[in-house]
Parts: sequence; C-alpha cells; structure tokens
Amino acid sequence: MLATLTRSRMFPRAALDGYHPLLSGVLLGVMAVAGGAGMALMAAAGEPGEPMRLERLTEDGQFKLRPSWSPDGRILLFARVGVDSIRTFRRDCQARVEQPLSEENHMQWDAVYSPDGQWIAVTHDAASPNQGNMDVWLLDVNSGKWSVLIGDAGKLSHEEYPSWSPDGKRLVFTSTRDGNPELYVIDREGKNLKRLTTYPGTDTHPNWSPDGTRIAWATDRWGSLEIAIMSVEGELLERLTQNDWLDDYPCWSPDGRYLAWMSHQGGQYEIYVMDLESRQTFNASCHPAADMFPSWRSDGRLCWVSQRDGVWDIYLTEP
Amino acid sequence: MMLAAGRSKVRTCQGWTRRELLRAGLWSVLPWSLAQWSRLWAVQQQVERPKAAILLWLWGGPSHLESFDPKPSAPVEYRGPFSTIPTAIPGVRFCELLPRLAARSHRVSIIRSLCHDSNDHGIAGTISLTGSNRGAVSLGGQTLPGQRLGTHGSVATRVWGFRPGLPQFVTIGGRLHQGKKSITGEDGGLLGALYDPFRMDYHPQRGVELPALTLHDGISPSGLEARDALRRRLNLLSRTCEQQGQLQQMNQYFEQAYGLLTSAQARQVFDVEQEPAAIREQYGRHRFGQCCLLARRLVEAGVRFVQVNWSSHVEPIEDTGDGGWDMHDRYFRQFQDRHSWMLDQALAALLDDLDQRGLLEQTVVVAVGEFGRTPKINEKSGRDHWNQCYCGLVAGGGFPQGIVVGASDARAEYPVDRPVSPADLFTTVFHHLGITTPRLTAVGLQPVGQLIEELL
Repeated sequence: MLATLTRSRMFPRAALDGYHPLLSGVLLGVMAVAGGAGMALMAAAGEPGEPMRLERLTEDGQFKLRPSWSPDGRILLFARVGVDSIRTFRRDCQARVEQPLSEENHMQWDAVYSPDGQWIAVTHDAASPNQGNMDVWLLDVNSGKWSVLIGDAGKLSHEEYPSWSPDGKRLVFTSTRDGNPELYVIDREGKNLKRLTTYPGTDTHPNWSPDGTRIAWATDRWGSLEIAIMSVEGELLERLTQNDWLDDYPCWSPDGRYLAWMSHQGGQYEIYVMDLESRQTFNASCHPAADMFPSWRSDGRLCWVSQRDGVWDIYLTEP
Repeated sequence: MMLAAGRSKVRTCQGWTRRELLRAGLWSVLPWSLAQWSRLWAVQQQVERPKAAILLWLWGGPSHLESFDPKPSAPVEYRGPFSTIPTAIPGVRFCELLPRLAARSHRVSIIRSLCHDSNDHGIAGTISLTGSNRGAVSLGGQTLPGQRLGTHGSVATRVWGFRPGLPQFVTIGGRLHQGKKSITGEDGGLLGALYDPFRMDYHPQRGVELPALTLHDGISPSGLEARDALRRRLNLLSRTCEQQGQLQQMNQYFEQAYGLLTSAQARQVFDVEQEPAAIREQYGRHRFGQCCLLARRLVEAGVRFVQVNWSSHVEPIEDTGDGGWDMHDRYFRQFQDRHSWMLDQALAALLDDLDQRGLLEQTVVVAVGEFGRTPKINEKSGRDHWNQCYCGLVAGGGFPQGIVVGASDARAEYPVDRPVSPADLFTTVFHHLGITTPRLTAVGLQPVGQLIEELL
C-alpha cells in the first residue's frame, strides 16, 4: 500500500532532469493556487528555461551544515566546517553580521530555534577531541545559559539532529542509545523520553510537521535511505520516496504542504520538493554543482547549502 | 587495410596507442575535438618522461563497503544505508556516493582483497607505508622489533638517486598521528633522514604552506629542531663516511633543494593560485582537492613521488584534526556529508587532469588507507578497524585498466580470492615505476612483497 503512493504518483522521471520542471505547466498551476511556499518557489523560478533565482547569503566558501531560521526569518543558524572544528554561527541577514553561537569554541552543529524563538537546540560534541560524544544541548537565548537536554544513557551514545514540535514543548531527535540510530521524542524539560522507531538499521534526521501531527525522517529499512512520514506516536504513515539513491534531510514547508529533501538522484546532491497534496515532485536546485541541507524560512522561501559558485555557501530563493 | 583496422579499434578506443594514431595520420579523418588532439599532442610530448607516482594516503582507514566493495545483499547490520551504482566495469558496482569514480572505473583497477595482520593505526600505517611492521609503534607505545624500513617514496628516491632541481619525494600534509602519538613509517627509516620527504601542505584559508621556508625563517621550533638533528646526523656522517664524493653529492642536493624552495621560480610550482579557477573548482576548493591539484603540479614540474595525506590525524573532524577516515561513530552521516564527495571529486579530477595533460600514462596513482572498516556496523552507527579485507585503487603509469583483483566474501569480511598485502601492492607499484628487483639490489635493498600478476 505504501509503495503505491510513491513512484506512480510522483512527477515523471524525465521531467525531473534538466531545468526547472515547475515550468512544465502542470506544477505551475499547482503551485500558483497553493500560495505560501509554493508561490515563493514559483516566483524564484523566473521565466521558462531560466534556473532558479537565488540570493547568496554567505560568501566565505567554507563547507556548512544544516542551515535553519529564527521564527521571524531574520537570523540564520548554520554550522561552518573548518579544518579543525565545526562551529555554529548566528547570522543576522538584515544587518549582515554574524557571531558564533558559543564563545567557548564548542563543536556544535544542527542548531534550530524553538518556535517561540526563546531556545536553540543544537548537537554538541562534548568529548572532542577524542572519539566524539554528541548530545543535544539547549541554549536559553535570553540568558545565554546552556543546558543538556539529552545525553548518554549509561554508555556512550550519540544524540543529534533535534527538531521542535510546533508548540515548542517537545523535540524529536536521533540517538544511538539502543545500538543503532533511532528516533526519540523528549519534553523540552528533558523528561518523558519515548522511542519512536525500532528498526535495526538507520532511522535519522527527523523533522516535525507544522501541524504537529507527523514527523518526516530518513530510513534505510527498504534499502538505501528513503523519506517517510510517521505519526508522532511512531506509526509509519507513508513512504514518500522509492528509488535506488539516497534521499535524506527532509524539511517541511511552513504551511505543511511541501516537503523538501536532499537527493542523490543523478549522481549528485540536489534539493527536491514534493507537493504533498498532488504528490508532484520537482528538482528545486537544478544545478550541476552539489546542493545540500534544505531549510524553509517562515515566508516560504527555501534555502540550502550549495557549491554552485565553486565553493560552499548558503543560498535563499528570491521572492 | 590499415584504415579498416583503425575503424574497428578507434570505435572502442582500445588497442591503439596515441603514438600509433599520430603515426597513422588519422587525425585528419577522425572527428576529435581540439581538446582531444591537444591531449594527444601532450601525450606525444610526455612520452619520454620518467615515471612518477602519486600516493593518496587515506589516513584513518576508509570503509571498503562504502567505496569499492559494497554488499547491498548483506543483512542490514552490515550493508549500510547507501545504494550502489554500476561502473564502467561490467558487473562491478561502487557505492552510490562515488559516481565520478564509477564513471572512470575503466581507467582504474581495484583491489578488493587487501589484508595484513594489524588493526592498530600505527602498526597498520607502518605496514602500508613501508611494506613491513618492523619498527612500527602501536597506539599503546609498543615498538615492534626490527629496523624500520624507508617509506615508499624514500625507497624510490634511493633507487632513482638525487638529482638537481626539485626534490624527488614530497609529502603534502602534516605528520601522521593517532591521538597525540606520531606513527612511524613515513620517512627514510633505515635509509636515514636524507631520504625523508620534503613536506608542504595546503590550508584552505592560508594556501600552500612550506615548512621548509618556516624553518629558514626560524619561526618553527620543531622545524629548527629537525634541522638541527639533520645537521648533527650529517656531521656524524661526514666523520664516518669514506665516500666524500657521495657526501658532497648529498650536500649539493640539499643546498639545491632548499635553494629551490626559496626561489621565486620554484614557488610558482607550489602556487595553486596560478591554476585557472575552473581547474581549482574541478578538484574542489577543499584541502584534499587542492592537495591533489598541488600533487599534479609537482609531478608536472618533475617531482617523482608525491604522497598526499588526506589528514594528519586519523580521527574525523568532529574529533579534531582535519578529518581522517577513522569514523567509529556516525560513519554514514560523515561519509555522505563530506568524505564521499571530497574523495570522489578530487580523485576523479586528478585522473582527468593527468589524462588531459598526457601525464597519466607516466604517473602511477594509488589511493589506499591503512585498513578498511568492520563489515558489521557497531552500536554507534560507525565501523571500527578491519585489516582482514579492504580495498585499494590504482591507475595510470602502465597499470592495466578496468581490472578487479581479488574478491571478498558475502559480508566483505575476508578475501575469498587472491589475498594481497600492502607490500605486494607497492612492489607492483615499484615495478611500474621501473624499480625492479635488480635496481633495488643494486642499492642494497630488496622487494618487500610479491608482484600482483594481474596488475602487470
């Protein structure tokens, strides 16, 4: 049943190659009536035959991990990978200034704001330099105080990639505490830990839907990494992708209608977007260079990390 | 008749050398691009070059399952989360995250049955870089018996001899270590410090760094210490060496080499900024990519053995250092986020660039680490050390193309066909470099392994 929801209802394969298939006509109409994220993407697509118009947000060229936005869309969080460190930065995209999230040279990445903007959850490597020990930490934005949301459970495990519920009361994250990457939810206060998945392979990179009822994630239970959706209780609802290449890092649009993810279709990383109502899928990045780690801004504009200018920077679709 | 034979062979691009094509005058009838003719011309110009080698040292030990020996049919606890893709070699598949190398597999050969007897980085590193565990130092600090052999570039230099101009042996990258403990086996060993590599590195923000220049400026205490140690050894040698002519030759070599390092002309060789932006981006503007580009520039300028260290530290970047392959934890996320595309991009670009410049036929390229990773995924979504079976890649320099040597079992745990040691691999590399048993014997050395017949 799940399989029938995927390839047969996805956009034809041929239309996913080459330039922006939004312009093929079918999706153009779909997106025009959709509003929100769809309108933003459609506007960025420009005239037929033109690639997506993008605004380059950073220009240092260093590799970056998982950009994300403050609720007001002003602050961009991202991790910059240096030769000997991974540090998270806050970039004010209006003032065009940035500062490290921690002044203490912490190894941190995967930072995400809480829906009210009062907290930032982040993957923190507490044991570096050694074999590493990732935990999920919280930063109280107002006080600047750090706390550990979830750490090891009696033995070394890795807790990472937090995603907030839309009410800001819970987080979903990946952990190896039971011997392989599984998904767990926990209260913001660090209580009521609950395991969502029980598959012996990889379940990872969860993203909570804006309506609070579903979680998208990546799993290799059918072979290579695929995108699927579960209920917040852990019940598998739907397999979204079915193919022979990596699909990872799913991310819901603010209106919940679209899901973006990173795909290795065609032998390189691209950003794909699925309209969850029509089940049409298109290549949003469409560039010979690699595009990774999609993230929606609150106004429906999509950003990601791209190598399109020869180095690694963060780009945002233009309004 | 010749044209009839030519048509059949040109179609498959096999069986005819470029020189033969030139001689046959087929340039006038073949629909080749200007670039292809330029490459052909370059080959013609380079055909008499002495052979060189580029060793891409994948320190930390990359997973053989996530590179050139995937096992998609293995149980989920073994196979990992990635798919596989076909290659240009019929029936051979690579990990899906190495598409450029898969597309170039007809120009490389893969060994799927490398193995040796240590899963300690330090010992395995010495085994791989010298062909022997003699003098190796383990993580625990134990030194194995025997006098440490010279590393491959040092042995090659010993055979080739010093010559005016650039150094024969250059290592790009810092000194290899696990934790804070340096490993042995990346220097001259019993051949002495005279055969140590000249070192340089590339920093993504600072550009090319030459420790030798730092040494001249007196900035680096460690460099000064090494220089002083070398001076003392030279003095000792001068007291004991009966062959003053040889000593003078060595001194002359060092004077020339250091002088060259400080000359404007030589520094141009090291200046990757002089490369067109498109070439730099083809390699990737990350450390390993630019180091591979620097290796090509060095070989083009006449350096004959270049070792590119992927990193100094075995550990991945989360654990300090500059991102080795020793990913006991979260192997798959780190591999898909960084290591896979960096290796795929840089190595593919190096093969293309060497080929375009007509250098590939004269340059052996080897990509290998000290071991592979445990086929069974551990409890931290990582893979641990696995010396029982792993992969290596060879290309250029006369190596046959599109060959797979050896095979592993269904879970990539052990060789089921043709086990091969690192010593065998580098004995075969030496063979293609013209460093044969008689030439080794002539300088008091001997092969450390057996020739791999399939790769001759």
